[in-house]
Amino acid sequence: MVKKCLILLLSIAITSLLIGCGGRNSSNDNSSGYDISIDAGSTALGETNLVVTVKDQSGIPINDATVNIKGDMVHAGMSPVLGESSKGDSGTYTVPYEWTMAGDWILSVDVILSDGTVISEKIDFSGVGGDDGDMDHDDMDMEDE
Amino acid sequence: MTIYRPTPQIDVLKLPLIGRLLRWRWGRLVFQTILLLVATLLLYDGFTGPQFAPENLSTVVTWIHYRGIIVFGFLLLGNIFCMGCPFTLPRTLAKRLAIRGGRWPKMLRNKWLAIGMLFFFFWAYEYFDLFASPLLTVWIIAGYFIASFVLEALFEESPFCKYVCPLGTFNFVSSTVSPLQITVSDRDVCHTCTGRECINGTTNIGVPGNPVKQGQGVISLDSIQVLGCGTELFAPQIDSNLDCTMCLDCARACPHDNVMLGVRNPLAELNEGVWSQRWDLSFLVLIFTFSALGNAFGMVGPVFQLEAWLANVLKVQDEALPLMIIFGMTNLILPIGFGLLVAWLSRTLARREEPLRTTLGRYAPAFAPLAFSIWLSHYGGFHFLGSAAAISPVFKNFMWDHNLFFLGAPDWTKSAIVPLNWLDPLEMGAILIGLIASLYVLNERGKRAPNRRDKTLAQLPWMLLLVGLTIASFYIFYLPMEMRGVSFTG
Repeated sequence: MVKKCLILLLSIAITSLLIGCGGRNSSNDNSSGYDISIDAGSTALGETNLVVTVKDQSGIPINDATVNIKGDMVHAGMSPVLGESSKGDSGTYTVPYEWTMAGDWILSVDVILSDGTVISEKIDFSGVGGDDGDMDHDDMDMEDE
Repeated sequence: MTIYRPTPQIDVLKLPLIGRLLRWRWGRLVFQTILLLVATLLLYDGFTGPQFAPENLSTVVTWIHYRGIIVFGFLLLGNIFCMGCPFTLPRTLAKRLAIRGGRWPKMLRNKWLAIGMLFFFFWAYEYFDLFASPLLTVWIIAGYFIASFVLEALFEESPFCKYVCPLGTFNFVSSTVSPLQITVSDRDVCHTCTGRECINGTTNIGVPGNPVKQGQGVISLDSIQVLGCGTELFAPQIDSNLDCTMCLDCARACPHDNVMLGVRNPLAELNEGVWSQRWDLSFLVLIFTFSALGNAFGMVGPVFQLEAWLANVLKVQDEALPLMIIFGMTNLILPIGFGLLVAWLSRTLARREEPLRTTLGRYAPAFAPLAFSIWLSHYGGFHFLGSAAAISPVFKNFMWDHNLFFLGAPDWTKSAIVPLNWLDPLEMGAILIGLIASLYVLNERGKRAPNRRDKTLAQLPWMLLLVGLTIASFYIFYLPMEMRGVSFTG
């Protein structure tokens, strides 16, 4: 009885792993060719405006999209900070935002196009709340991951 | 010196439903199965899901919920994780495969290896940024399964739990302040017991057991064919939760139904218990205490500045060595150094002529309540109360990834389960209670010093150390947190 139970449980565990290796939907994968970049302005703790630039595959600015941002600390479980903008100007969207904690952040950017297509991108922001609060522009303007 | 023998008024094993479940032959298997399924889910999501810690079940459940639930478990019940530990589930299978005769080496039958593993675990947690990596997190889980199985297969007892597992070590020390403890209801029964099934088990596993005659009848099938205590504790002699995994095999194996899971004063063991005055046990408690601070210190700004300074001095680019030096100082050298210094001062002020190990062993247990309160504040307060609701959006996101939408869309604003401005007062309050409990235990242990009680003067160095640790924990907890995980600027 014990042997059967153990074999059953181990089988469940192994099968689950094998099934898991078969794949699943993957979100936040920007393979659309759209260019999404962020200018954070400042990474000092506190409020700031994130300027998100969206361009299509041809480099043409997109103005009629909605931009949602979810900022997470790298540590699991920290409260995310959300921001949104639906008004673009020359492909740029200004998203009010707040760096609530020092450390390494990952911003998940969802750009919802007028036809409902969602383009997602994750962008790292390391060392938020550092000494001078100024960002290295190379860190801010990131191409597709 | 009195030997602590609790007189439990309540036996959890006699409570309706839960008592029957716990005593049931397959009772532990129920809990282990649940946790195995959870572990399987974590392994699955960790290996195949988004490699993004805030959105992966493996990192959220492991670093937020597991740690939070176990510390509240210690506070309210006992060592509930080890009770349902899925890592030991292959134990029975490993026992079948065991090459008989393997005993854990005598030189390792102490807590030094466990201390080393605990130190390495805390260092690895920071160095590898385990909290930020679903993949590494699940490799840790997989490693636990493998290590537990291998050691169980090679050795007769359960050396993994008792001498190796850093989680078990953390749990053992924490459970010394828990309100539940294994004991027996009638010691006379144990004196006349010849089989000592609580430690030996009832029969060889897999072989139909011989029902044991008890009084007028034959005992129920629930108490046959079960293993004895994996960590080889003899139920009537248990006076501490150290090394007890609360597996309840002893209760299931006892043919006399004499083992109980009693409710006790959470400080009783520390106040009155006769802890073995071994260097390793004393330093384990002190290292557990200082590690509570060291672990919290690893998440505030100054540690990164210190790391960067050390990296510049040592001319290294990697975080490993600076972090090893910092943790070596906070988690090993300081507790050992302060322990020896304060024990020497205390012994001098008490005008005793006894080995330093004896003085240290007398007072080291007093640090357990403060240590636990700091861990409780960190894991239970900051992480769990501040983030536990994150499981909702993370799980919904997991379901969405599998085209299962019936739970609705993830609401990423869910995180804390109490108002965030409650956390500081709750954490500080818990640590203050821990300090008061530690001072109380200190005084009680001073009263029970052999021959004559230790005067307050002899306890003063210990008091100062406890107060100093409390102030240091307040300072660290009030520093702004920094969640680093990907950057090291040496």
